[in-house]
Amino acid sequence: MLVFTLKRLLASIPTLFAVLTVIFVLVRIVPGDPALAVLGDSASEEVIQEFRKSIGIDKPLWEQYLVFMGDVLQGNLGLSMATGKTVVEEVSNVLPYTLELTVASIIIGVVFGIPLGIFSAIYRNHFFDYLARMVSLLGLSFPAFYISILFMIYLSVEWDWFPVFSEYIPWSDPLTRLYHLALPALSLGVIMIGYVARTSRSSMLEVLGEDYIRTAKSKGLPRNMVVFKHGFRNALIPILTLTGLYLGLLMGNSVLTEIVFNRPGLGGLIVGSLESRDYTMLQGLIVTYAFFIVLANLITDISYGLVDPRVKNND
Amino acid sequence: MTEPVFCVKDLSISFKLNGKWCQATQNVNFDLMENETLCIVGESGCGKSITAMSCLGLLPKKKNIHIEGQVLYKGVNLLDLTEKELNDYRGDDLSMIFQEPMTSLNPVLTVGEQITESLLVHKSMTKAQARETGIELLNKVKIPEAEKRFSQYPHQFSGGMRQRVMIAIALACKPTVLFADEPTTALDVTIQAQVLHLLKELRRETKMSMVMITHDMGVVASVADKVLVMYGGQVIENSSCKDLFEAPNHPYTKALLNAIPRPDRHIDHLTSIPGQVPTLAGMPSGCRFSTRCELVSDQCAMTPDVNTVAGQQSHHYRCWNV
Repeated sequence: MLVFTLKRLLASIPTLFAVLTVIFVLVRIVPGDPALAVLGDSASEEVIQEFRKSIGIDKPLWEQYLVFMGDVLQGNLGLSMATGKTVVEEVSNVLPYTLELTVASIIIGVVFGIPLGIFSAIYRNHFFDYLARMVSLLGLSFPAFYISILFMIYLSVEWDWFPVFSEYIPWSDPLTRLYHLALPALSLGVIMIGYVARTSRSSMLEVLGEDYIRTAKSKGLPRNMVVFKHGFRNALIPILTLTGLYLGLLMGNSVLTEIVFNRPGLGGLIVGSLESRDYTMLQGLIVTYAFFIVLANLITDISYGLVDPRVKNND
Repeated sequence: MTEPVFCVKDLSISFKLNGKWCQATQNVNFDLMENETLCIVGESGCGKSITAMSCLGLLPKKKNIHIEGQVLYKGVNLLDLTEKELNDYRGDDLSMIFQEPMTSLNPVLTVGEQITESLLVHKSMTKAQARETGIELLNKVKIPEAEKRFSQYPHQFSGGMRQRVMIAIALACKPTVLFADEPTTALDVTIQAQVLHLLKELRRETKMSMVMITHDMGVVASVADKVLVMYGGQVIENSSCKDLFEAPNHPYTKALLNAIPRPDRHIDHLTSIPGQVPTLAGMPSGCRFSTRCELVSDQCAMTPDVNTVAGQQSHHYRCWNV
């Protein structure tokens, strides 16, 4: 298992390099001169050259690339053009908020979505199945911001169960922090429940039709053993894959949720840097997102090894 | 005469396809004595597997499947039992080997776990006892290094080895009747011979009865005591193995035997039976083989009676023109 984990870890390094290269290229091919964007049309040629030199874009491309890669590897994402603080500092201030939101909504999605999907597969075409499919369809079809607004109107404003807006709360007060996290996590979680339940249902249905389920039945095993011992572990493999993939979707949706709830997080930072054309900040944010997506894939890969013996041994 | 261990009486299975009921098997009958091997032969789609599946209650109990008749094991009609009651017999007294060794084992559980499962459930053994028995079983089906193999996963086994594991699973609780649904079809010829040999040996040792489904006449000749030839869901000829090979009656049985390539006959091309098995929905009325039969006559538009061969009590066939 350790060897397998290390191998996966090593394999994700080239991925990360490729992603960084793509980001470097993308930022360079965006039309418009960042110097002009920051200094305005009326800036003199001298000032523009001075600025270009200060952020290092006067050098040839290959040198820029090496500098960029070197900086990123050292954990240096440059200075924000808007605030002058380092990008790393700005990002790490709000990153925990986005991470806790994402992780919480994945947990909600998995904890409720998997049982919902599994039972709706077992009771296929019964009342429970129809109900569960309706719930997951709701989760799938509501946009994140719409659910957020609905929750806010009813659960916060009307019934006053949750705070309307979130704010910076230090970790020293975990209960209040959790309380503020609840509603945003729930509105993202509902979407995850939809996706996870749908995946679990179809995966479980497929597994229940497999030959080894027939074998298990022919052994005279009790129904629960057939479904859970033989069925569920096999169904888990595709569920894991897709949950890993949905993380990307979740990160996108978290931007909207954070804005609706006025939560601190990467979402607010993205919108802010877009408005102020803060290229370095934007570049740093993309690097951060890319890093977490690669990390999520790594975790998914490793968890395969835990569930599916074929993966571990073939490696 | 002793009582048969296992007995199928007038078993008819129908499926509802596109709103229409189609009969997959019609009035199948057979008896199985202790330590006897019955082979069910026929082309794909003639109802062999369905018959075996229903003997273990493996067909789903749904509105679109209708089963009539009786499946008697020691006097109990298995078709009347609930899933829960069936589980007392399945895997214990009655067990089954399937056609596809590659997909019939669960990929995420060790071979040992899959073998010992039924021991734990039916024989209430402790884990240690089950493990010991499991390794013994692996040895019995001639898997080398059984101890080590016990904790490996199915993907670490070859096709033939997996089928051996399937046999070990099926034999775990010392069944009285073993159903083997084309156990050698998916294996290559040398492995086929080994698996057949193993089954014969185990049968001799354990005194169990066996129902073997196959479309390979060579397999029939080497293992069967009795043979049931099925066509289009009906038994069209049944007899002892010896009588069937020496004096087949039904034109379909003759055609099947004729289709076996033999080294002593020099022919340019292989003999086959023209046409295809009619689909469930397109079954001809009267004799079901009439669409492909060489001897077809006007009479064949009517369903032929079951005839008994003169001088051979247990040799029956369904044909007008013999």
